[in-house]
Amino acid sequence: MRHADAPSLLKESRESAALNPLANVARLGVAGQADSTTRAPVALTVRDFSAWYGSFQAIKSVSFEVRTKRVTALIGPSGCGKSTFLRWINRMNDMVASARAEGTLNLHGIDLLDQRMDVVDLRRRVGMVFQKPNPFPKSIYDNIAFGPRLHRSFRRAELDRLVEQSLRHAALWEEVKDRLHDSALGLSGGQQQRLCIARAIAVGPEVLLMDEPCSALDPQATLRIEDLIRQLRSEYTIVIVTHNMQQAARISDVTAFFYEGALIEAGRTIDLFTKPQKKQTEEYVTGRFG
Amino acid sequence: MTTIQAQPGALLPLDHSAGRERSRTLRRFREAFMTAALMACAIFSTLTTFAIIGVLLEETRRFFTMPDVSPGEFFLTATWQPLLGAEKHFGVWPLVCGTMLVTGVSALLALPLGLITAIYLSEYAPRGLRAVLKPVLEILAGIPTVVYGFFALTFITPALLGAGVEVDSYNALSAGLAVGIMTLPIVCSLSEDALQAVPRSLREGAYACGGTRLDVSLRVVVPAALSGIIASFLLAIARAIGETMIVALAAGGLAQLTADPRDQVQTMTGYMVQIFLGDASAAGVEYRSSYAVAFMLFLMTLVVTIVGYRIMRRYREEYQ
Amino acid sequence: MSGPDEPLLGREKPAWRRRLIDRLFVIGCVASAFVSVLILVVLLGSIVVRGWGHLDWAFLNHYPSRNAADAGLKAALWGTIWLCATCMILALPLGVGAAILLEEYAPKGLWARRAHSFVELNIRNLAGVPSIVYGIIGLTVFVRCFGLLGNPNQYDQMIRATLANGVVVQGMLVEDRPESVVIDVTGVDGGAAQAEGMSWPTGVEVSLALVQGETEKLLSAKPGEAVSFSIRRDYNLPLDLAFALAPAEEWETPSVLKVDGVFRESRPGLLVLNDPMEGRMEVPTTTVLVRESFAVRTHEFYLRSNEVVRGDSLSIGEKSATLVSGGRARTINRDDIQGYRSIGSLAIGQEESFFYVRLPLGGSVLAGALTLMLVILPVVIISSQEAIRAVPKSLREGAFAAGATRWQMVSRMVLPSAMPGIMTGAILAMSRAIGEAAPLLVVGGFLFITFTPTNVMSDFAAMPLQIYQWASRPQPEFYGVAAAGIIVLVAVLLGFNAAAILIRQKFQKHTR
Repeated sequence: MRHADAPSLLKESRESAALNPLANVARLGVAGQADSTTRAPVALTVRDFSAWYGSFQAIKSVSFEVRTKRVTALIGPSGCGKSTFLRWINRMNDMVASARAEGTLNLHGIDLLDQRMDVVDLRRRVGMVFQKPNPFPKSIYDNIAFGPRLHRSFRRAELDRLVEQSLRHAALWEEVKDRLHDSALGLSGGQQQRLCIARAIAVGPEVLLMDEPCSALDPQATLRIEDLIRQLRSEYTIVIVTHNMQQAARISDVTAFFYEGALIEAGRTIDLFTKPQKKQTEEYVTGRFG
Repeated sequence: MTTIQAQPGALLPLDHSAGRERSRTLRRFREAFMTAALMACAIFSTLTTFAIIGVLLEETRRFFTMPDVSPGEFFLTATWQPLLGAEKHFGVWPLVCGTMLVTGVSALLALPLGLITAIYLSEYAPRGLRAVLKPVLEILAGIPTVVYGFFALTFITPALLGAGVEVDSYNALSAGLAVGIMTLPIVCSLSEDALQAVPRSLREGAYACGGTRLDVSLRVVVPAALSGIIASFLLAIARAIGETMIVALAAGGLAQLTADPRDQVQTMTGYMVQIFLGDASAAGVEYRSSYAVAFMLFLMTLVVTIVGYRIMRRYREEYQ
Repeated sequence: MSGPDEPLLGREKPAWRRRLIDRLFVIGCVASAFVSVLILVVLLGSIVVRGWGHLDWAFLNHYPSRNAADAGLKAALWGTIWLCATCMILALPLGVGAAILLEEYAPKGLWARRAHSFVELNIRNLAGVPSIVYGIIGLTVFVRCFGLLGNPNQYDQMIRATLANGVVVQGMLVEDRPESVVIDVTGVDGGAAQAEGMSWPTGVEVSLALVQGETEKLLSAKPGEAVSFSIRRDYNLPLDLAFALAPAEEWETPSVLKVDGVFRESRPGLLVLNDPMEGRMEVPTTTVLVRESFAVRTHEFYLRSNEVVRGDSLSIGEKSATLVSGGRARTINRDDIQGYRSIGSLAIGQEESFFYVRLPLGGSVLAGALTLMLVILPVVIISSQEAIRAVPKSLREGAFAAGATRWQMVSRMVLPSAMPGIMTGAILAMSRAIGEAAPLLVVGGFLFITFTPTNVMSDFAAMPLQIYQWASRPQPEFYGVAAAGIIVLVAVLLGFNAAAILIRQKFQKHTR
């Protein structure tokens, strides 16, 4: 029924967010979800994780945990290493020749930094949505079917069903069901980004990585994506990088604040925003710098 | 397409068990196989180079170890008489001279004309004229060289004779002019690329100083693009040196040391055509000599090409 | 240069003069820019004027002829089609594969990076190598296979035709047609002169006896019908042959006796061979089951003095063998011969099948296509690289994030997106291949060919070669024929260019 609730919830959160970014967090906390945050099993363990591009150290010995089926937001000013961190989780950094990393990055017991690990299997379990929507120059249907086709062979009807389900989960089905075989490039920016989310979940990942998924979208489309993220929370472990602190407050259970490659503070979103432990965190969340 | 009749708002859980899982082993094997296959493709192109150098080197060595042939004679004497006469002479300079003469004539035509056309296209030409000139140059670039050879033989030479220039019926001048027409599009398009790469800010700065278009083009844009322009010249010259069909048709077959373009000459490529068209037996000394000539031709074009690309890379670095 | 920053020094240049010079320069520019237009108009105009009269359906449908009025482009047109199709089938996968490796498989280690940039630089340099040099490489590597597999002429068939009027024609079999036989008589016992001067007596039944091995076929030609003769270069080698024999009564049994020998003479019902070791041998023609080859071969003789002599067989008699090697003939006494080996003949498939391949390739369609492939490969690689580079990086990331392997990403994402660009480049490369004459001249020479290729081992003619041959003839009436050939060639090329432009425009609209 969440889907039906969405408009009212949306409206409410928008209004309250406009007044006070923390109101929404408080409301979620009251609902009791935030308390269960720390009890959820650990999905990703990060210990003394450092990463470099050539001789530049982008991440400096970071340690924290990402919980299963929770939304973890990574915040911090530009160039603080949050996107780099995200790209290490599904090893997108393999394509950057100068990138290397040390420490522990462990997803459900798999060592993500192991050079012998099958990155293809990993990426199947860890989907990713990018900053700018990047639909393939194919039809909407083929965009969604691209991932599943890589890993499994389908009968036509099975694939049809999977495409439909994925689009429904991304709250896009109603808008595109009559033009599944039109080019995906004809969709609006917000629709394209939801298509990319549908494409990512069609593969059946456990973890969804989102690298500033709303930064190229207008406010209306942003709200729809945020709404979608809240829905997906029940099924996927989501790690989202965002510049927008209000967004982090609105949608995440856990927030990690990065600054100049170091992890300053990580904890329940409500705690981080209402009673930050570090001075830098407080300055950042209250908008004094960044 | 099957559609699920879902109640509004209700979402079925995403079913990922549909379909059949693809084999992981097969995937890994295919991946390794394709990487190896692609690698083989890239290695093939490198093998080509080694084959060129290896074959030419070996056959040239055999040529020089044949009786009556010596490197000294090849490089230091100036009589090329491999087929006629009782005594054969292998002094390569008449062939080099023929090649240089034809290349020189072509450069005199193609370099200034190509550069001026490039300046016009880059700095002056209105859209409409560009739309005419560009396809014309593309067509000129696409015409096979044997057609230019025919043109030189049946049009340029008679036209020169008609204009009162006393040329042989085969001569270096008309062959050179045809080679020049052939290399004109190369000079023009590469020079234009170089001119276009000059940043707008430089032009604006020059206009701001009160320069006319001529001042801006000749005193700012052309000097700034100079290395690219020189590179285009060198690449065009390399093409002219290696050009075969035009000289085989129009330049003649008499290897002589001359500086007069109205004379008949034989170029290095022209000699090779003569040999491979079957005037010599497959194992003879004159047959082998063509490999030595080919090696020399290869080295000449290679040096000019490498220098050209070096210079070209420098101008790319300057503005990128 | 008078700088604008020192207005008080020097003499002021009048503005009108500067403007005038600018104006004049523009006029000069326009004039010289339109020289290229003028050249193109004159070039095409002069050729159309010369060749238009020769251009008709018969021109496309006739084989070449000694007579300018009858000469046609058929053999060259089909030769070009065969060459370019084979060339593209070879060059496209190779070129696109190399481009993919260079663009998508970025090297990580130091040495891999060095190798990568070497290959990259190497391809640029290969693009600048004169095409005739590729021709020479093609001749050595493809046509002759470095001389390791024997003489390329070893597959040519020798034929002796006895006509009813007693004239004997002996030469190389060029083509075996139902109603006539094309024989190449150059270099065979003054055969060229005999063939040139021959006129068929009218009213006399002419029959050609073919010595072909398995049977003696008798073919007859009607009075007045000419047998075509083909002249080709560089044939002066006699023949060698191998038969697979079976005694007549054992034809049904699988046991086949193989006899190797040098053809000596043919009598009715009997073939006489010379075996270098066994001496004279007589074989009844009825026992010949399969004719394996009937060709010139390269032999290796191991002498008692431990010397190895290698060369093309000139004659192998009962007392001695004569070989030609390194341009010199050498006679060896039979008594000195310790061992003997015949080199060559590596063939796949039957002569009738389209995949028939034999080594060395000789001046065949395949050798020509491989040589053209070397010429256009750098062009294909460079244009494919550009097309692949134009595919946005976000598509690659998206595919990887969905769990695609590198090859899956390339084959499902990059290649489909880059395909229009690759095809445009391929078409332009192909038009280059169509126009190339110099490498084909070296590889195949120009042959007076009166047939179309039947497989990739056929001899070929090609349009630019045919045009060159017509243009280099002393008789000016062939200029018109050459011009007509040029019109066809240029029309084909313009068609290809137009196709490339259309593809580019169509796909630009669709994807952007």
